[in-house]
Amino acid sequence: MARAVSTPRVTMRGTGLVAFWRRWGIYYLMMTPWLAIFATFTVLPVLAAAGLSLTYFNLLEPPRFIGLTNYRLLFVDDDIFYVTVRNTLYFAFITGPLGFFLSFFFAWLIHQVRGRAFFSIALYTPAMTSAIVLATFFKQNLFTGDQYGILNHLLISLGIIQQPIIWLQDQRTMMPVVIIVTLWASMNTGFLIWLAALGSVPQDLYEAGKIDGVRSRLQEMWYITLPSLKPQILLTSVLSIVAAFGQFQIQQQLAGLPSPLYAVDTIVMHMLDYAFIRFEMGYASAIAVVLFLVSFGCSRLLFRIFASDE
Amino acid sequence: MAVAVPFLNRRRRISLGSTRVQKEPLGIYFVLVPMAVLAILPLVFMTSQALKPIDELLKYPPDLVVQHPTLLNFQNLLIATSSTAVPFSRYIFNSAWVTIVQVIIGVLIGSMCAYPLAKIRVPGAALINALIIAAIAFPPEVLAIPNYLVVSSLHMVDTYYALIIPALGASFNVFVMTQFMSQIPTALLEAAKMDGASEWMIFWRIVIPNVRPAIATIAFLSFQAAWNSSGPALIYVRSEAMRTLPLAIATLGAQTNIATIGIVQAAGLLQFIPSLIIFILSRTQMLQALAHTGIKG
Repeated sequence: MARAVSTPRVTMRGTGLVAFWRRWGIYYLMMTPWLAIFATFTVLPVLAAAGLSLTYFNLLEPPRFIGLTNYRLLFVDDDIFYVTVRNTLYFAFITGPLGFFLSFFFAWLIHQVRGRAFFSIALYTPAMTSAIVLATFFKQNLFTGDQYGILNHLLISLGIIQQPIIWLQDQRTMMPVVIIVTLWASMNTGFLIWLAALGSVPQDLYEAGKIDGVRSRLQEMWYITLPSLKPQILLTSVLSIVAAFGQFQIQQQLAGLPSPLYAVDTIVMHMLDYAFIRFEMGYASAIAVVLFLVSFGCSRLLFRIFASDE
Repeated sequence: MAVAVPFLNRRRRISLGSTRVQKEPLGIYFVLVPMAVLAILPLVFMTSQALKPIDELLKYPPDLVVQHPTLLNFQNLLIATSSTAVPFSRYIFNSAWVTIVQVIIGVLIGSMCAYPLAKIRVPGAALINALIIAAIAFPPEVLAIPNYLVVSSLHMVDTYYALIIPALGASFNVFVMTQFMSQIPTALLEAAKMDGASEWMIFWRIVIPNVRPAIATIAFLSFQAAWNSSGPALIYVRSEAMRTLPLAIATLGAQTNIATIGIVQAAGLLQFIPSLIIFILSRTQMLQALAHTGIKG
């Protein structure tokens, strides 16, 4: 290709820019308000957190570069960090997949019966309100630690236990209670996506399946419904695991911050503790970066597993 | 003149039609009915507790359903606190104001951004779409510290701006809207352009009327995010008067106290009811919009 003449190219670039703006400018203007906020509060902060994690920063003095010291402290010296990592993984790997499975399963059941409106509204109810309100409700009624608590009363009158269990301070019961309350509210956005998606599978696929020998509802679900809803599987599984990694409101409201012996503290709570109570922003940023890597890594894994092959 | 084309009708029939109901297996009801009862139990019991007079609240074991309903708890919550430094109605106002502004502006700028991403394919659209999906793949709590630094350097700590502006960048809204908009037939937009319609006119008169289900969806999701949100308020709010409703309920309900239990349930119910109403109103629209929301990967 001959590219000998350079002068026309320069003028071309000039008019090119004007032409480019004429062609696309209005659209970039439309996008600007949201993009500016997205860049300022989502895209750049990921980079900023990574940068801050390499500094000592207490908000009073300017950040001072200290290399990987925060990470060394975090992984070598911070025993509580390990407790929170263990709690987070335990909590996320139970409530993430289970929440995902339950919302699919119940949407699938609702899809097959009459009264879909009633059942979908009813099952979505716990996810409508704030996690704090739901946790407060459970704390004040079901899981109250004295014999007046409903669950204690039930178990005592059935003769299963003699003494009331202090659900939200007992090391053995705190995590299960947090998981139960979380699962109670797990019919969330993912559930709505499933309710919608199950109706969108083209009817002729099912008819074709019948001809090909699909007999039971389970076979229908496994061979026809799920394969045609791979994009929804990927989206809702990511939403579910990410929500599990980020959740701290239910833990905090049920058991306090920090919870007794850090029994249900998550990585987010550890980060908030260092950031907004001790004002060690550099160290807290390192915790945030670890949380980012863990949850982003899990999401990428789901992308690998559930990507549509087309 | 708004143009609504019937291109969605085909999908509507598929997504909401009752064609899938053949023989209903009764067994399913044995699973669904108990589950539905379990799910609405908190709301039912919360309502009942909120309406109970003090002697019924002290009754042990408690009745599931209130015997002599009274509005005393609501009165105590709203009127008895009106003389205190920060009346409870202030928290309701804070949450309501933040929610209204966030829903209106969020839907507007989210739709404005989604249209060029979905239909025009401006240079850079692929990168932006990838960033939006990437932003779904980690919890927003990761961003808390840099967001706080930006908010505080803009002197927005303890203002409504701090509770509204960062949340407007929620990527899920634009994600849902982009996917829905990409179903609008391009020929429709091109025809309008041939007729001399400007880009803004196409956006307002053709795109917007055709994405009502998606608008209902992101309006509901924004409403829910804002009305139920406690994280940002936890970080950005310093003064008592700026606290939001969920945060006020968290404080009110931190201790289990027999004297306040009815009041806490009343406050919880006031927080619960708007979500319930708005969900019931927007449900069918949402199910249309979300039917084709997914990630191909």
